[in-house]
Amino acid sequence: MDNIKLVALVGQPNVGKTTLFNSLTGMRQEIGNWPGVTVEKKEGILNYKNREFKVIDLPGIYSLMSNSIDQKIARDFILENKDVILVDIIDTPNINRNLYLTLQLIELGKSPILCLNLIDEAEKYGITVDEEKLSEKLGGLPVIKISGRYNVGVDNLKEEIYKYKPKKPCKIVYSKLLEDAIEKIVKKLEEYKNLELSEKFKSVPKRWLVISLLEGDPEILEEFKDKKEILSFVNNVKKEVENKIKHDVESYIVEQRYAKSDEILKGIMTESQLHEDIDTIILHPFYGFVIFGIVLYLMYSFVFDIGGFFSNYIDMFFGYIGTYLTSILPPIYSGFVVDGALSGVDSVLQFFPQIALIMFSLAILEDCGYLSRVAALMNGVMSKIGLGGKAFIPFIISFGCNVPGLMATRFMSNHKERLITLLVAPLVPCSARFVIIGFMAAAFFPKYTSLFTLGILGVVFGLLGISSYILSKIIKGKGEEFIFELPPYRTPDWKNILKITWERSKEFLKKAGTVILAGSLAFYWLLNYPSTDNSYGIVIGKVLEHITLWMGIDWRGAVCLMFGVVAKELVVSTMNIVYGGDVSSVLTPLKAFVFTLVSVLYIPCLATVATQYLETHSLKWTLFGILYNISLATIVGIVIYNMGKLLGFQ
Amino acid sequence: MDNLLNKNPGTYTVVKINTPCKKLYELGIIPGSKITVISSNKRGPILVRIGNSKIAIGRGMAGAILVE
Ligand SMILES: Nc1nc2c(ncn2[C@@H]2O[C@H](COP(=O)(O)OP(=O)(O)O)[C@@H](O)[C@H]2O)c(=O)[nH]1
Ligand SMILES: [Mg+2]
Repeated sequence: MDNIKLVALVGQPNVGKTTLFNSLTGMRQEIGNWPGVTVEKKEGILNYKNREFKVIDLPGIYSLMSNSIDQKIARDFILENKDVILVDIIDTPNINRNLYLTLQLIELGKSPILCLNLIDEAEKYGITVDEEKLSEKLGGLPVIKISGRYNVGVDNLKEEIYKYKPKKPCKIVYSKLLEDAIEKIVKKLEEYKNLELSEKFKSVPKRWLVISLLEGDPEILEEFKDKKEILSFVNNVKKEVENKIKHDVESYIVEQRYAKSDEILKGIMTESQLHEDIDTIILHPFYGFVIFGIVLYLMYSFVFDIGGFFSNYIDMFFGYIGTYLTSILPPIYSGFVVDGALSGVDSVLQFFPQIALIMFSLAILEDCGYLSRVAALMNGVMSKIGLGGKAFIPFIISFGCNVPGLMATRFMSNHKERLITLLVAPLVPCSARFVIIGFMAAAFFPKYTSLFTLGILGVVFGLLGISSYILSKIIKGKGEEFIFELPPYRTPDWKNILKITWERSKEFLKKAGTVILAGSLAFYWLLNYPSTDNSYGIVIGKVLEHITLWMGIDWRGAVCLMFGVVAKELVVSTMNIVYGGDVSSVLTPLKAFVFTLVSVLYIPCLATVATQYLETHSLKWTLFGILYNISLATIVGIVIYNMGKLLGFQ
Repeated sequence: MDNLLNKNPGTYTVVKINTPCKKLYELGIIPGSKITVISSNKRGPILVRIGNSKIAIGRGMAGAILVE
């Protein structure tokens, strides 16, 4: 196993890396996270002529600068794994922009295998590239025409990987002005016997270090921050150049690289422009929203109507089993088995249809290109709370149920925005919480049900907006800048869509399912032992009363809230039990309002917490999510209750 | 010379970029490149085409791109 070779797929976003990854590795894949972040990491095994290769699907990157998490992950991987075989995937219709990254890889001393991917699309548009000449101009790097989706050229790629030998990369020569500047600084660096760089930069070419210094790469600047002499030397050279070109060196280097790509492609490529402008309607400030509204409505009904249909049957099925088990098991076990374990499994499986359907619909929308339009369309609205346009979808889905809502964040590409959405989307009142709201409205404010509901929703959404805005200020990292590519519309790749749907729903069952099941058992024990009238839950409720009384909730209310952790709709049924059926005579309207608000806010249910954990891959953020929800509910409960009392309500 | 926000659909040449945003560069929007405005409304993002790719630019960012 120790001589198994690493193969990494690099390329810009949306060039077909994952599709190619799938056709290289088939079903032998493993999905995890890059250490410490919520960026997905995919690894798989390629078997070819009795040799095994470990293939890694790197995050999509536009350049090798270390200025975003994705770019840093990919770059660190390339720097740390010196003998990885790099497969550079190129979107052929956009080859000149894609070569930018290729040039950077070459500068870093790498000799990647070039894949001219999406060759089917290129040919359809009449774009052709002479791959032999391209290879020649890039110092003999292998260049293969490929289409991952239609399985064109994939075997050639396997063969190239199999017989891969690193080459000495060619030198990319820029304008005389830039070359002179680079050379001067390289000479300066060579004066130092030992630059004392960190491990991963030890063997990179000096030329690459110099270009990165000139480009102002954040990580390289950090690396040199104690070497004042070198930095000031670089700055002087920079100023000299800037005096001649009359603008900044950073953009000059970018221009030079693009000029180089164009020069390489000159004479070996026939260009052609494609035109299709349905986007003037899809992104229209009025029709765009109408279309999006329809799409959302269809998706929502699909997920919750069809999902609900299946969930009902699953529930019925478990009901039968439960009745049967109760009848055959001795009573001391049947509680734990039926009401604890079985109902835990039941609730996990009931989520399954909805999860599968939401993953399925989003995979379709993503694959055909609509999701990136949504990002553009909704950006204006969502940026007010510090999020990008794609965050709108998880929020809407959360109205039905927070669990598929959180799963929907999978389709957000920005790490920071995804984390914030995972933390605040659970504030969105799901259908179970509407059960509580509806029940309380009918019991206490029969004349003003809609006013009551609006009041609760107003407070909740206000808090949601504020929390999200604050989190976007305190969580480190960059939000998406509002400029992004809209990939061409494509017919969905069904194989890929089914694969994504299955992978993600399976992961939910495996990972979140275990947590939900364990949690259900723990809560069952807590609320039923030693006996239902005198359980540990009641003891805890009486302790909690010291806090909850500040918001007018006694221990019985606290016990209801504890049941609500298992599933929010249990708050209502528990209330009927602990308050002896007649809730409206026990609570005052003010208390009822506060109680409703608190039960909507205090903690998302167990399943949501489990999903939060599944999606953040971090205990720290999950605990943070729980704690800030509880604090929010406590503070808001206390403030509103006391304000109400001051205003003369009971 | 005028910024992208004030331009009707049509093809222009980028003259200057008044923002340090690297992403513009990475998407190929650099001084000297040809840029085609596909649609621009009073609200919402500006749609442009650079080479064979279509790009949506927020109004703030579009205001920082000077073309002629
Ligand atoms: N026409 C065509 N479409 C492709 C090809 N490879 C991928 N796609 C589509 O391009 C889109 C992005 O592919 P994906 O593999 O997710 O790209 P990634 O972002 O680089 O991982 C999807 O809609 C794919 O169906 C191909 O070879 N030809
Ligand atoms: Mg991918």
